[in-house]
Amino acid sequence: MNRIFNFNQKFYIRLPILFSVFFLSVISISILRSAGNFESEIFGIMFSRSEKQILWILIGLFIFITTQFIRLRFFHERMFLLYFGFLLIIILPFFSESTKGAQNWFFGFQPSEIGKIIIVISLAKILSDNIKRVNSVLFLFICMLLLFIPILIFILQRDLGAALVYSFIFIPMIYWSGTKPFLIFFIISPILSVYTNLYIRIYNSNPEYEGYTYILLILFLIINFIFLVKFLANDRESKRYKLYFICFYVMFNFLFSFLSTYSWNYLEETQAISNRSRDLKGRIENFIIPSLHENAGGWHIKQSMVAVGSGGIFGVGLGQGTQVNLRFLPEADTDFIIASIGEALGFIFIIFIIFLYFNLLYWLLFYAQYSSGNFFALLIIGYSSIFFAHIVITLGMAVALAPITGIPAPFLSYGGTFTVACFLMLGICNNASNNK
Amino acid sequence: MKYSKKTNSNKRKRIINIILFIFLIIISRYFYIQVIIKDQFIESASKNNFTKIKSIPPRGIIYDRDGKIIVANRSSFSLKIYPNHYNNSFNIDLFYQIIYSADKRSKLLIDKNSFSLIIDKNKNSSINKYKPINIINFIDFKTKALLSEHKNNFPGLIFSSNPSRFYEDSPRLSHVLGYLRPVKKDSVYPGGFYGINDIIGISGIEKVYEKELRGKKGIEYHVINTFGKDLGIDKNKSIPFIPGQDIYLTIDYNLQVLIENLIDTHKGSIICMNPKNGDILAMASAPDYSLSQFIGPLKKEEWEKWKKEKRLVNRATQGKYPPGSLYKLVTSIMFMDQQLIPLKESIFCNGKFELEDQSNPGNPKIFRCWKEDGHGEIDLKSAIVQSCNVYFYDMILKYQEKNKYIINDLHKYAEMLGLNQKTGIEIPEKKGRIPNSDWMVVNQGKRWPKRGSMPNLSIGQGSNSITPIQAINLVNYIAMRGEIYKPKLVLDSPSISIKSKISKYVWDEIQNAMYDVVNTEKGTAFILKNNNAIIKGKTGTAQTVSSSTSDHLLSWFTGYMDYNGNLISLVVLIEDTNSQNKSIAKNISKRIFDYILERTNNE
Repeated sequence: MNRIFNFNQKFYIRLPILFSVFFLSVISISILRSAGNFESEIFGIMFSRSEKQILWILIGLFIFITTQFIRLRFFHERMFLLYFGFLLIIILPFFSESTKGAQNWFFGFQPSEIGKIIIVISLAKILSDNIKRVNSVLFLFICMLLLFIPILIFILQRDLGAALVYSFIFIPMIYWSGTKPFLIFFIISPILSVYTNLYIRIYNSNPEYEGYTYILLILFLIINFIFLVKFLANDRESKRYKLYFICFYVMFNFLFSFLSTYSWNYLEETQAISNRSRDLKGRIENFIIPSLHENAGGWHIKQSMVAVGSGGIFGVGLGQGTQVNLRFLPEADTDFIIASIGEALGFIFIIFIIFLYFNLLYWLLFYAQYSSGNFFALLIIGYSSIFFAHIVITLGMAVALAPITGIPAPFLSYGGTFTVACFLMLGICNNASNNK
Repeated sequence: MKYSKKTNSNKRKRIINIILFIFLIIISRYFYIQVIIKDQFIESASKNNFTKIKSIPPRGIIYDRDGKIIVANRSSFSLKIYPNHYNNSFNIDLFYQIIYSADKRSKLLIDKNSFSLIIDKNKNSSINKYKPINIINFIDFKTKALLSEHKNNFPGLIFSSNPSRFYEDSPRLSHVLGYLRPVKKDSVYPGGFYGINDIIGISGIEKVYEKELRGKKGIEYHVINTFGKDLGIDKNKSIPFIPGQDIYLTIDYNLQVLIENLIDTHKGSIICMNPKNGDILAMASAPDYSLSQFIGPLKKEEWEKWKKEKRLVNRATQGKYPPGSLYKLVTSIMFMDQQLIPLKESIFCNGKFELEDQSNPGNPKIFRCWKEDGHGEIDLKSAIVQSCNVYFYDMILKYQEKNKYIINDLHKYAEMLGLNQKTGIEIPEKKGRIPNSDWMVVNQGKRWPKRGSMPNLSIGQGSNSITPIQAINLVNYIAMRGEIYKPKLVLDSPSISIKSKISKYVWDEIQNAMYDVVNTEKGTAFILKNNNAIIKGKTGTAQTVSSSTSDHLLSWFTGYMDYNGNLISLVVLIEDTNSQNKSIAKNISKRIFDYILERTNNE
């Protein structure tokens, strides 16, 4: 049986998931009704943003139902075809004009949104087929390569958000596959080193700001110390393995630290003569410390914080938010919709939204645990981690906890491709949970 | 690794814990921002959304005593262009043709060559495209109308109005009203009312009543979006301004027009007053200046010219002049009140008076009467009527023999009659000078006391100087028999009476003498005689100190008229006459009295 659809398939609709989706959509539409009053024409009929979003949600629900008839094994069988098709799709935007500094659009839709679905399928297949090799460094390296090719393309397209979200997938999926924690830490550790290094360097070159450099440094050392102690204390690995591992670990981290230091110094030296260096340096600074430059990228953060803060506990009411209505808050209906909600509906609704998201993730993980095979479980884990990445970044971005990367909040933000992609991912998860 | 439900359950729990941990961090961050430090964000949100614009109240209107408008407000206009509305159909040539042909009070801020460049640049900037660009300030209504006519050719053009004063050309009343100027950057005024370019009264009533006239500023809260686009006024928050108080002057509109026309070609001053309550009915000082020139920037050459020609001095209250024969009234009042020697005796005037100089015997100092042939036998009354100098020379020396410090007595009487002191009028004034012995010692040193000083002082020459407002006060004392009212320009100011200690009978005597000045053929102001009213007065002629050699004379007339039970007092001072043209003050006075009588009869 090679068909993609199987209409005889029995399935359950997982209501706890749709519970969250329902309430999130209601909030989203009420916010869009009050905030985004742009109108546009589709087939001669004028639609406001909220009406268009309702349309997208309906299309999404249709796709959600449709996905229930997909034979997921088909993806498993045709993974390589899908993957190369995916690579083909994501290089398409190179041939279109850039919007807002990023080149991630192609004829009105974002290939990276659809690409998420395929990259999770690819990783799920590779990992589930090689579940015994997940502790082999070489195998992990190949898996990472699979992921790094699209990430590299996104970075070239300056779609930092997609790059960030994609890199979020890897760790949960290999963790679920059974990769040992110390190996996972080995992969994370250069990120920590580079982050700590750059954080300290940025505050050193901007002495007018006060950061928590020492606290971060001490935290970094403590984390590494605990890790090393725990690693050395376990008796499952041989002494020789431990020695090699520690050597590689230290070399690896020093290598990345030196690389980041060298690049940073290079940028600092050339920023006076090269616009590109200055631009890149500013981007890195905004990425590491979102609230640093109030007048550059930090201006968005500032307006967002003002919106969130002025909402208070109960909010100023739907449609009453001055930050949104007077257009101080940029991207109030997409990337910064959380700030719009914070302003209009207040802390109460932020808690409610976080609860809804938690509920969604909790049940997805629950179904992952009880799904009938590694491939299906890994699909759910992969999509959950994509949702989680979006949730954490959009929630954090509004309050200067996360860098501004321009990614939307699932089931809240306005956006066609994204809403449909979210329902598609959820549909696949629902489908996967039914495969017993 | 073997697939097992148990390890998956552990993994799930760990992942859930991590998710919970991260969500808790996010929640605590939101709690911190939305609950604990929300006030600072609420504040900056409201700062984001509003700009405060002070709304400037219209200045109080100034009326005459009957409610005729003397100074009103009218807007002057600034030309601005909104870059977002500007496009290629803007006819730059026509625009600048109209502007260049207009009466330009202020400098062009953007000239023709750079015009399209600057506006295009702003049009393409997302921040600046909603901000209007100022082209020129203070254009007149005519230019505005001309530009509005071609409005279709000028997309994006707007006019913004600035409240400014509007003056009639007649009456000008320049010195009484005073002028206004924009507040400069470096000047400091207490109270924090003024911002840069707010107008403030610098002289006259506009200065004295600045607080009443200016009103109270309001605050307009404009809702502004992130591009700086003005979305209108928030009415609930805004505080409306309180307009300035209107002021009613004591000025009589028509009389003021008349006296300004009469004095227009001369240098000098005219004041008309009602002695019964102190109201100043008309006050003019010539040459004056045009208050309209102060709307908008004033040309520097103009200002320098005015300063050079002393146009800015209010001669009526600040001009110091030798009183000349007017002072004989003061001297006479002293003679009558003191009676040190009998005044019935008459003296023979032969046209000159010789005073023997002790240090230089045989070479007497000669004082001349204005009439070279002399007045013949003359007593005090006829000395006033005919303004005989010799009588006063003689008498003052006789008095001086009885009282060595007669100068101090004369000073005392002058002060009792309101000289050598400020009259208390609202606008700035000068004190004038009536010397006493102390002053003479300081200024003339060892030569004092000597006999030669007194004759000159007694007829109002020498170091005496008075202002026209003091001269009219002196007449008011005589007209009102010793009880006058402080001169005032504002109708609401209280009438404050001032009493003199001089004996009552003196007033009758001096009034009789002044009656004869006008009503006898020998009187110096006989041309003023009018059968319909009782006019009393005194003429005066004096040489100005600076022009004693050449033929430059001051011509005074001061007097009052009693008609239908009303009193009106008057002083006319003409600064720049000569011996041929001495009667000019009298002629002007006659026309004023005639006008008042005619008007009363017509009513």
